[in-house]
Amino acid sequence: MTPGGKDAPTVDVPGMSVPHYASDGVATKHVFTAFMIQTQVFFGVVEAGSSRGDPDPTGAPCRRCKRSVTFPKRSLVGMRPRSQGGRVVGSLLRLRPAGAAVLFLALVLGMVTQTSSAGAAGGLTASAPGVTPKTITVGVITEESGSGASGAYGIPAAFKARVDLQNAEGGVDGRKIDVVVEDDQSQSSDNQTAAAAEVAKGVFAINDNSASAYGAATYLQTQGIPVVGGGYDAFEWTTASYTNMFSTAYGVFSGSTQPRYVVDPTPLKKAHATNFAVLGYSISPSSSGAAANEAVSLKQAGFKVGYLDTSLPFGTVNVTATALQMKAAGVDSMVAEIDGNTELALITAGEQAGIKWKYVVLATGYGSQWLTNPTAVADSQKLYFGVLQTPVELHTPATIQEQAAFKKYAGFTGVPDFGWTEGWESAGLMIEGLQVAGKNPTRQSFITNLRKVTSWNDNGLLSVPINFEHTTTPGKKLCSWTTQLIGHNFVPTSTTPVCTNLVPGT
Amino acid sequence: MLQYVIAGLVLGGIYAIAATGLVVTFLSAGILNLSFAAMAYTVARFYYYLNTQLNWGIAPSAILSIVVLGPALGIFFYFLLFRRLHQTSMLVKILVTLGLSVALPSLDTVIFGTEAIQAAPGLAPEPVHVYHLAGVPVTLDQIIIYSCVVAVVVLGVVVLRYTDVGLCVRAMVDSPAMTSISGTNPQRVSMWVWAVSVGLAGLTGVLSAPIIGLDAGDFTLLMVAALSAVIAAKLRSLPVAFFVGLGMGIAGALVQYALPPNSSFTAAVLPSIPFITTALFLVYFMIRGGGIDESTGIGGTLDRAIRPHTSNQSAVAGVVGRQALSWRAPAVGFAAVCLLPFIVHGFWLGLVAEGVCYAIIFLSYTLVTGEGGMIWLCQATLAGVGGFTMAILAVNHGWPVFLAVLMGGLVALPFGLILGFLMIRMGDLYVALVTLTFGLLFENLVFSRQLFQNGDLGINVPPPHIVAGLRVFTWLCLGVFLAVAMITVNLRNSTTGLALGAVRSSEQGAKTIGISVLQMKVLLGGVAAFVAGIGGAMLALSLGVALAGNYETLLGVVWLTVLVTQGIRYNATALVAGLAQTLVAGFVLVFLPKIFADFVPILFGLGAIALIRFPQGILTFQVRLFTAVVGDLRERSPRLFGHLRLATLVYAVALVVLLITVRDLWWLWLAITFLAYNVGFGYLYRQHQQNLKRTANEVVMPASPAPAFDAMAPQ
Repeated sequence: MTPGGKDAPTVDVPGMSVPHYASDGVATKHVFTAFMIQTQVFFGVVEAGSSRGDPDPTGAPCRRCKRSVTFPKRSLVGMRPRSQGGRVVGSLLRLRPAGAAVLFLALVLGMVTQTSSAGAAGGLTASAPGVTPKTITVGVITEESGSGASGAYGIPAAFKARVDLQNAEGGVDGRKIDVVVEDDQSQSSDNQTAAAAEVAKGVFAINDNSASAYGAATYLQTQGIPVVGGGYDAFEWTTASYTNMFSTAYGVFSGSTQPRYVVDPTPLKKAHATNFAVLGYSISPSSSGAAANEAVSLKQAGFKVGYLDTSLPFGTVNVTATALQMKAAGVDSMVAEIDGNTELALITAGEQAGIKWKYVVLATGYGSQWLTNPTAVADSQKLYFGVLQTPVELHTPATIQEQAAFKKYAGFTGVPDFGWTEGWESAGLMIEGLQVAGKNPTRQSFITNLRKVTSWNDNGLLSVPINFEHTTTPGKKLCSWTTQLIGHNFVPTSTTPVCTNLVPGT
Repeated sequence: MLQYVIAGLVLGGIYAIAATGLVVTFLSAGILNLSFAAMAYTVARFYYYLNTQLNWGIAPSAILSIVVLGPALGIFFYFLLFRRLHQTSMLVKILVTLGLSVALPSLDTVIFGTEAIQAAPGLAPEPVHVYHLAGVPVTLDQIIIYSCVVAVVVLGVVVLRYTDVGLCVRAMVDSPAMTSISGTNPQRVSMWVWAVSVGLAGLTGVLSAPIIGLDAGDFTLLMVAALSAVIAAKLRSLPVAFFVGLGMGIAGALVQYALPPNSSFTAAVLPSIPFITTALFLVYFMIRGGGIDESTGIGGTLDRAIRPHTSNQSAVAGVVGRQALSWRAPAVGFAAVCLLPFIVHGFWLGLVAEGVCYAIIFLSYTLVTGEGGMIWLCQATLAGVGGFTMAILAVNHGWPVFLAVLMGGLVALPFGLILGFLMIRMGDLYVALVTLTFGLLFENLVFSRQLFQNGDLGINVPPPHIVAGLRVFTWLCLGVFLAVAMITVNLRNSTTGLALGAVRSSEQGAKTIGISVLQMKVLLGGVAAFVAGIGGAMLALSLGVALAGNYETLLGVVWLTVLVTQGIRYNATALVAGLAQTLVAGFVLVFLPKIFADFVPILFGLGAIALIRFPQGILTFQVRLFTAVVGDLRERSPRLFGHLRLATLVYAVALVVLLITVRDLWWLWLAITFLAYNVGFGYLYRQHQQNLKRTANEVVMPASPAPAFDAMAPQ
């Protein structure tokens, strides 16, 4: 609610509609605080001439403040109440020095807080919800509880670490970035609730980094809220109508339009791989679609695909029968668009069935959480792990900065896994958007200007720069980093990412 | 093919041990412990903590987890919960154990954290030794599982059937009263039964973790699958549970052997095997025996036989006892909710609209469980049918939205009719299990189709054109709720409602006076499904999207528990429960620290457990207490009652005005109201209690001597 007491115009959407300027929450809070201080002092002090009026946030006498009030015996203004619960009357002329000082301070505080929130400071204005001359408030939604909590671990801490680093360097255009974090409890409906809560709290933009982010996609798009995220949950990030959504990687596409990339045969031949098993989850069209495309690409690259399975139950680790089928098919290598625990179970079951793996890449798993599990470490020795960002083991300026910030602001000194990487990159994208949005950003300027960025690689952390003008179509190249687990260390297989090209027509 | 049979024994062994554990618990305690999986997960997680995180050896970790923690948990929960469950209704038993199944994993998260566990060790030393049987790798973990399963089955059968201990246990389940007369302490026997049962759950958890992973969700799915074997065993046959569990595992492996791995049909069939197993066995039982009831051949027969026939023996006894309340309080409450759109706005108003839509769905529970006494756990699925029907018709075929909403209800209706017909001869527990299975099967086979999933995005639903703004939409939802509630009221007050009441009280008695039980149950099932469909459609409108994740079956069980904790027999409690569902979550999200997010499921579980104390619902209890106190005041002091009523009315009007005009201080007005109510009602309640005591004393000890003595006194 604005100080004038009127509601701002609302967006006509049943469900989670909030006013465009729901509440300039920070300003309102300051106004209220100052008002309370002033009225607590003025209560019991007779207004000059017994005039009445509205509580004026500029500090004028509270003209409606004749009330029946009980004051303690020693009041700030050094007056005794005439009666307990009776009307207390005093006079400004009888103020004690201490009381006058407090009164003066309250006036000053009130004027400072009220003017700072609304006034212009160096040309910076409160140009949008969540934006003040001094701060910008952004929201983070992630799975802090529920079934997805383990995978999202580190996202809020990494995001805040990046923001803290930016704030230490002066923020964005002189404004510090404040962060509000909400938990969607790994539920799509709660993701929408969390998004609505953050919008009601007056955030400027949102980082929706959750496997349930699609739950709030329609709502946030309707509200015109800029959204950044990982783009790994569903295909809203690559859908044209969701112009407000920006992901840190080329996102997933709908099942029928999965892109296909050429396979670089060099590392596969080097590992003497000949016959591949390709697997995906049945319940995830992006997983099963990507698996099907991988199989085609492998065949075109001259390899055999002896086993293609797109009917794996999500998250399963009971894979003995699958291992038997892979063994019967004579596979010696595996490419799978599945979670690390399923893939690890497949590797183990395959070895127990007698498969001698030549080339296996785990899509997930790189990071400290894997290294803390002795069974996982033992079972995945010399296997390859895909990495979302430049491996920290290469000690590039970007990774050094990243790890230093994690250590300083989050107390984390390990290898960043999925959550830490996603949080850091999302924060980087958010900062990029704020920087290009202009000195006095609006949500529309954030969306419009970030959409014009044609090459963003997060200071060299990403394997391929993202062109935000063309996120509804797959990138022309797919580049990825790979590491190999040797002992307790992830060893990068190359100093540059391995890139392949998009197959024309897909 | 032999190789796949052996491979299938891996998962089959897990199903078998879980199923036998459930059957042993039911045979020994008379309760189907739906929190078995949660207990198994808790012990397994503790074992992982000791063995992997603290690097303890296998033996001490196993002893402390399985032999100490498991039984200790069993004893703890026996004294806290299970000893009070014996005489409660089936609905309370189901919801209490389900509440525990929700609360325990959340408590584990608070204690152990959310670390991702890629691989969990079992009881075999690492690296696990692998044997080869007919070319199939069999690990030592799997051999330990097979050994334990066989031991549990053999020991279970031998102990329960052929030993004095087993005799005591069976006698105690059959009749605690007669057992205590014979000199056995039934409490002590029950306590040790639960200690052994939870210990068995812990063993299941530790053995299962290396096979299915260490995740609470995986354990829940395991238990759901094991329930299929339990149903096949008719809740009482250990060997049948064992073999059906093994069979399901083998069937899964053979499906993988026979069907192409990259087929969508295979992808649909694999997770549906347990549910298909349930359906096949149910059909078989009904063809052979005509019906299945959990009480057949199971404990309690003697106590039931000697129980007075006037007592209510329905599945929901104690929960649905309905005392007529004045219409004024619900009317005032409804009017207050109608005023909410003037008071709250934006985010909170959105939650109010969503809560009213949930309330419409909850009315379907009020109908089928509250009125019909049937425990249906598939209302969320039926709501999903309505939601998706509305979305597809409105978005893909351009139907007017409100016509599409109506069609959502009409499409869901036949599902209710068919379910009602199929379950006519089933006992209450079977009805609950079958509807749970139906819901899960529907999720796996139907809602997983891309037509509904749309790559996880669901189907976007545009707002209806004639609705101008969220406020109007909220009133529209309230209007739909009122219309459906009036249907419920009319049904209740009609001869059909009276007939339903008769069926709920005693099916046999109802049959003797010519009431068709079949007709009543089928009718009610259909109407409840229609209401659920309408509610589901309205929910999709409220959220702006029809998403499969919003209609999950297990989520529906949570809804039922939220409703029952308030009271399942009144339409007003459905509205309160629906609003609580959304507003409490919003309150926790906005005002409380993050750590409370994990406590919400725990609080929900505690709420379900509170059903033991308040089987008719906390809100219903409060309303009745309030009615009694106010009624007493009106009798004792009509003048004071009149003053208080006037003062309350004035305060209510002032409160509404304040909430509308000075919204920013809403928290202050509500806090003042809450304090005033507690102080005022507390004072009246004390007066009421004193009055009751005084009245009781006057009855026992009259104030003056009997007139006869005076008459006999010498003149």
